Amino acid sequence: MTRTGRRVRASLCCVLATCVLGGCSAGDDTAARSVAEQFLDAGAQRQGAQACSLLAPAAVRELEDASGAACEQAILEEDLGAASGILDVQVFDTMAQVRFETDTMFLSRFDGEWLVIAAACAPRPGHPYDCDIQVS
Amino acid sequence: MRTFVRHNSLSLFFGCIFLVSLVGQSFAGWAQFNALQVAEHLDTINWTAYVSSSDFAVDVSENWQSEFLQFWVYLMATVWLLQKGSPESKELDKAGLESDEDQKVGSHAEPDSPQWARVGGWRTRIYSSSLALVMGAIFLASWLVQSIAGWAAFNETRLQQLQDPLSWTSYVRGADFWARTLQNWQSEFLAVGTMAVLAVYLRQRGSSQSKPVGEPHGATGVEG
Repeated sequence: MTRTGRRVRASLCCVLATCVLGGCSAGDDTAARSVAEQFLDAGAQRQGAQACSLLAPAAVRELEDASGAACEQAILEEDLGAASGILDVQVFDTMAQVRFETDTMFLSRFDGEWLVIAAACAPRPGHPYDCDIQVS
Repeated sequence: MRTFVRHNSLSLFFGCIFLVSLVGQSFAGWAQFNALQVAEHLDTINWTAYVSSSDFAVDVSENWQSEFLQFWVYLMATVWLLQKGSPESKELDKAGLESDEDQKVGSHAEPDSPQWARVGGWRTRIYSSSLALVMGAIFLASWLVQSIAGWAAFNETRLQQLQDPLSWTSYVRGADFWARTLQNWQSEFLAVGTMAVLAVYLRQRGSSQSKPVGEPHGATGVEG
């Protein structure tokens, strides 16, 4: 875990009342990071079906509607980054952000599992990220 | 048992309606949260997950902090400030901390006075402000919880909007924290101020918070 990731969780966990009320769940950073890495690895290894299985349902629909192709094919056309050089993992309740050197991803919890809702995201200072794959 | 209930009916009543309201809030908030999740094409969560979420925590704590602040401010303001004709005010010549004799502390304590009121020294000084100290501490703790839970909930929303999360220090200097805080403070101060003024001219027969119905409007510090 990165220094920022540890700091975020430490800030939450140090206040017991907030942990009780706000929900402090250890392991979320690791789980979100693992899904993000699996997603990028699948893209790098041209395993479209594996990558699509880690996408949120609405992101799959959006990708298929935009490309006119099945998710398994369409996702291989996207310029996904590599799952290396992780910079930061931040988790807030049902949402997570994982930043690599070459990509930023946003994930949400679906039935207890993290799924990607946006990937191949470029920062735009003062505005939301511009993502090639996202739930609109 | 019946005597216990009758002698503690005020606290029991408020304890019950507090719990009913809190449970009601949790179900309404849960439904509202899930409606927003569906609108964002995200997954819904169960009730248990909602009541342990930062969204629920901030909604609860932002109201708690303002209520305890209200009573703390009221306690402190009514030491020094007066309102002619109000049962919420002390008599007009009694502004301030009052004498030990008036407050029945130290050598002026009575046989059934609390021990810390009788003993003098630091224990009597602390006990003399114990209500304000506890109310103030609960206010500060609730406000801190609001700031941290609000920060987490705000960042959850920012991530849904594909924006970077903020640090806690940025959050407590920002609009969301102060909008949540001040919208509660203004309503509390309005309610207390209104009560202090309306109670000059209006009555509720039998209530300890009202003057007796026939008491003159100018009578100050008289409760029913």
